[in-house]
Amino acid sequence: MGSMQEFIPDAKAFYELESDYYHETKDDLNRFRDAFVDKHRADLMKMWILDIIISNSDRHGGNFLIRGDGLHAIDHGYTLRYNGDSFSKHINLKNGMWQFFNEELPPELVENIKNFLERPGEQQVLEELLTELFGREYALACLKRIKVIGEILIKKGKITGSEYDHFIPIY
Amino acid sequence: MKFVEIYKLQNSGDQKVIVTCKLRDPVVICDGDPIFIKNLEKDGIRDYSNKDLGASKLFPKDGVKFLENLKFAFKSGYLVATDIQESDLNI
Repeated sequence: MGSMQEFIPDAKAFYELESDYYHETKDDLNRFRDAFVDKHRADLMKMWILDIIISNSDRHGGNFLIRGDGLHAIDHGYTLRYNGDSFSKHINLKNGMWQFFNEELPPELVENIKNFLERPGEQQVLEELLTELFGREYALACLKRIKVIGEILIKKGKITGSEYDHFIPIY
Repeated sequence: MKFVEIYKLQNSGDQKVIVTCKLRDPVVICDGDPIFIKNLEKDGIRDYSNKDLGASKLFPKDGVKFLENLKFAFKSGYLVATDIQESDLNI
């Protein structure tokens, strides 16, 4: 099996970003993290939903790249219940578990999921590809997560913590 | 001496060692990119032997366990940590 990856020149991992965090106070840490999240909120939200859909249990500062205003998710080795990890609902940023419950998610994200749910042919293609790579059980669970998340987002544009706990961890 | 190298993919397509973490029992000492090292020291890495995602993290002070888990934390084409290597030389 091989893979094809897009190269992002001049990109940095979160671990490579300098911050005033090193002044050691909790306020410094919070300021740095809040500023980062504010600047990249839409991309972080998209990455958060992606991670929920693919059941990624390992999103941390070494697993996404930053270039300019854009984020690029990388390293999805611990996805689709790999190795029996528990189900994650966080992006790990600077010792903080980041999540976006109760926040309006980007309209284009909702629209993209809506479009996908309206196209059974595309769902079929994804199911076949995932089944080939990971087996039918994981493929169906992933598609079901997209459906459940999509229905919630189309209706409300956001997800609450209790909705997540009740409906999303589908294996 | 046990050590792990962390490589970063360069624009040229080459991989370059940006950090080397060496076991100086009972702790790990890292040399290389100062920003990366500061983040490693402050943020730590996940303990991948523990399936509980809320489990405590590992830091250089945790010694060989920190070293063992680096290859699980950094395993992408952009940032990759080697397995633990051994050298008789004091690198």
